[in-house]
Amino acid sequence: MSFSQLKETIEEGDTVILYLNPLNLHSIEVKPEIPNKHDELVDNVFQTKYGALKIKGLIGQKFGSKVSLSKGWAYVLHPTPELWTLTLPHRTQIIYSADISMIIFQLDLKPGCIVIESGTGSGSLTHALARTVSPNGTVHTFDFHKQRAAIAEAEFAGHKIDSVVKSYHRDVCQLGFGPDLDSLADAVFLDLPLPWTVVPHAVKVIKKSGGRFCSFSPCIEQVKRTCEALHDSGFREIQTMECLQRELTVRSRTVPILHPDKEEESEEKMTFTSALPQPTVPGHTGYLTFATLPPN
Amino acid sequence: MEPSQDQSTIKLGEYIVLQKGNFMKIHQLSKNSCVMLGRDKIDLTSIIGHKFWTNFKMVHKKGSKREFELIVCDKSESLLNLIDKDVRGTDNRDIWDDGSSQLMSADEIFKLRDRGCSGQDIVGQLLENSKTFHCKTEYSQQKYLKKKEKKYFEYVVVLRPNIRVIAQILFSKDPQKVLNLRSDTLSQIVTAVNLQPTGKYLLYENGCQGLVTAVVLNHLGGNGRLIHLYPNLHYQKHAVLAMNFQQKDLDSFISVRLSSFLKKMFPDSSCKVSGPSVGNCKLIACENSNDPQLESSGGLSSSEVINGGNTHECCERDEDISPRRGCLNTDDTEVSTEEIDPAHEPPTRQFIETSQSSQEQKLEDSALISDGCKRKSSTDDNDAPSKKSKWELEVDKAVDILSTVKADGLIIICKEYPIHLINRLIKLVAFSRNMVVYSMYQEPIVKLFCELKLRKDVIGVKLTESFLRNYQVLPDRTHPEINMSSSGGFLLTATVVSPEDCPS
Ligand SMILES: C[S@@+](CC[C@H](N)C(=O)[O-])C[C@H]1O[C@@H](n2cnc3c(N)ncnc32)[C@H](O)[C@@H]1O
Repeated sequence: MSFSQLKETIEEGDTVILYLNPLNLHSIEVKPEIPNKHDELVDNVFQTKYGALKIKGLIGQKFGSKVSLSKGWAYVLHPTPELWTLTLPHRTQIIYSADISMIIFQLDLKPGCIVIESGTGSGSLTHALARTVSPNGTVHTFDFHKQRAAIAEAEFAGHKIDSVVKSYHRDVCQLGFGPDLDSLADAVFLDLPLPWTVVPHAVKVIKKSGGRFCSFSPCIEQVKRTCEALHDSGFREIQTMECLQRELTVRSRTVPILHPDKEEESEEKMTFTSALPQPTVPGHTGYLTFATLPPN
Repeated sequence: MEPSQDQSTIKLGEYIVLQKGNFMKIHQLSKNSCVMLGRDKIDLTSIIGHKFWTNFKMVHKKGSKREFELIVCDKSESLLNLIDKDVRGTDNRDIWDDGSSQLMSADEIFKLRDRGCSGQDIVGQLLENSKTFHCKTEYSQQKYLKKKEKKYFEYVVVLRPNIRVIAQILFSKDPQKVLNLRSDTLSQIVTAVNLQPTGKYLLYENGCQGLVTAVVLNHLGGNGRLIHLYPNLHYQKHAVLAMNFQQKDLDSFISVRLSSFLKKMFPDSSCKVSGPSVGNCKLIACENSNDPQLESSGGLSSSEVINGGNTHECCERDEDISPRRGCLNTDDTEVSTEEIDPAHEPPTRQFIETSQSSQEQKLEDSALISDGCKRKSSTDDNDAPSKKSKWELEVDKAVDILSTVKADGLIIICKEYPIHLINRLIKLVAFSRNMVVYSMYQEPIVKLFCELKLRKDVIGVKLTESFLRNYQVLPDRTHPEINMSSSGGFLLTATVVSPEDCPS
């Protein structure tokens, strides 16, 4: 029950996050033995920058405790959608936590909601959606790439969020979301190249009592077409925004105090703490377009 | 979600959001409720029982100029259909604004209004008397009409409050009163603390009108637990009230005074929490020399030069700028203070009870006093009275809950410098769970960052700020909006871990 329910102790089958430092994180499935190339079961050993970790040794450990590696140590952390986003295997571009946070907030999601997502991609957003609508809501997630849909579905099962997430292999631009979901959704989220073609399908699946819509698009041309389609389909409160999160690096600095009338560099110093963003930071992820479909 | 209760209808006693053009206002709907929108007084009696999102038209009440009632109308007619498709200019070369392009005087316009002319008619007249309107390009005709629409628009839509709309209204009304907590930062708090609906969270909130409390309750949906700690006298709950929570949502909610909670939770420590006598400043002064953790972190101060000792002042000054006010305290704010008719108050919402009319929210734990039993002064806490009052039971419950299993996350949003509070509460957080601290200022949170970096029981200490930019999206005129919010505050996040070394 690793993603869906918070727990204290690591058990076989859990996913854990190995924390070496903030930039060196790995997600590991706790399988004590794995087959080697001769198909014999051998001890599962995970290699890190600071040496090897025997997976078997994790079982029974507490989340949040220190474990030794052959050349150092690391922390084992409870998985969260945010840590998963940082460690997941990329099969597509993914959405990161700042945008994910805004998407969840602006879609008015809470436990019990039904949300429809397409495309599933690497499942980065899906994990956060699942957390928000659980335990009694559902995420219906669609991707037209067969292999991606299948891998994502297996991951959701491995992370024990498959009671909340239903995966579908389907082209939603062409076919919509299917009749089974008509008038069921509280919210629809799109991250695919032609979102405006899906807007009429979104209208069909949103509840009669109304609901929210979001599309994430990297390009402004996509945004324009989507906004037009939303307007034509009766959406209100159409709003486009961009949100970025910047990490501040904190350092203690010391600089000499300049005395303009003295020749030699002064011994006198002043010390301060600086908090600056990295010299280069992501300046664009995608435009988020939100809208409300009022009750009809 | 199959709401057992009908959530689509406008009901007496509930909070609603009134939207007129771009303007939004939170209001509690009472019997004979009236609301001021700008200079207009609007009678809301007629909206009860209608569906949310219904369009209402403002019509003059007989014999009064600035009083309106609302009648249902099909669809808000837009002024934009007044655009002159036939006569229009291609550019502005012939438009010369000498201040005389409008032939009607302001006085004449007001008279029209006071005579009860509809906005549509007024703008029609304005156009007729404009020398330049027809020379304007279609775009500037549109722009002109949009501007007039804002001024003369007389349609109102009633929305059901939700956390998104409430956060937006409170922030745009006066960011200072929600500690500059912008919606993007607010949304990041929820994800950063890994808010699982079934989890158990510890929150200290002071200074943003209950916004974070409302967000957490919203995301728990009645499943997990929120242990909400509030400073001595104040429990700001405007946002919580505005959410119209059902009893089910509130079942998750335990709200206790910080000092009572700490005293019970850590009985053997000599924690002093500043009382009302300290005046305005609510800085929490925990002095505890028995506590090794406090000592170690208290003594280390690589960044002392930055802020050493100034936090106190900072706090006080802040108080002066934006005087603490109860959430229901309104003169010009967006909150209605009308008393609820007790007969219509949902019986379930026990914690709203007392304070509806108390303008000065000298909250006597109003949340917890429902049976008229007055809270004793907190110094009697340990006297083990034979019959415990409700607030004591709440404290017991909070302490019980955290004594068996620790919290799944800690959120601190306040005006104060919270290091001592963090040193306390961190011990109540389970390993591998996150803490999030919000500050509207960079300097104190940088100092906090430095202090936390020295602790052995937190890792991944991270400081972030966020950037939010809105766009105008229109055919051939798409660009970022001219004004943007310059700061949405700062977030510090970290993960609590076991301070013990690994077993060899
Ligand atoms: C950028 S990825 C989505 C990433 C995802 N949001 C995440 O955070 O991991 C876009 C996905 O949309 C899928 N896709 C594109 N067009 C589609 C369509 N018409 N129907 C369904 N899926 C589609 C692609 O296969 C791809 O996996």
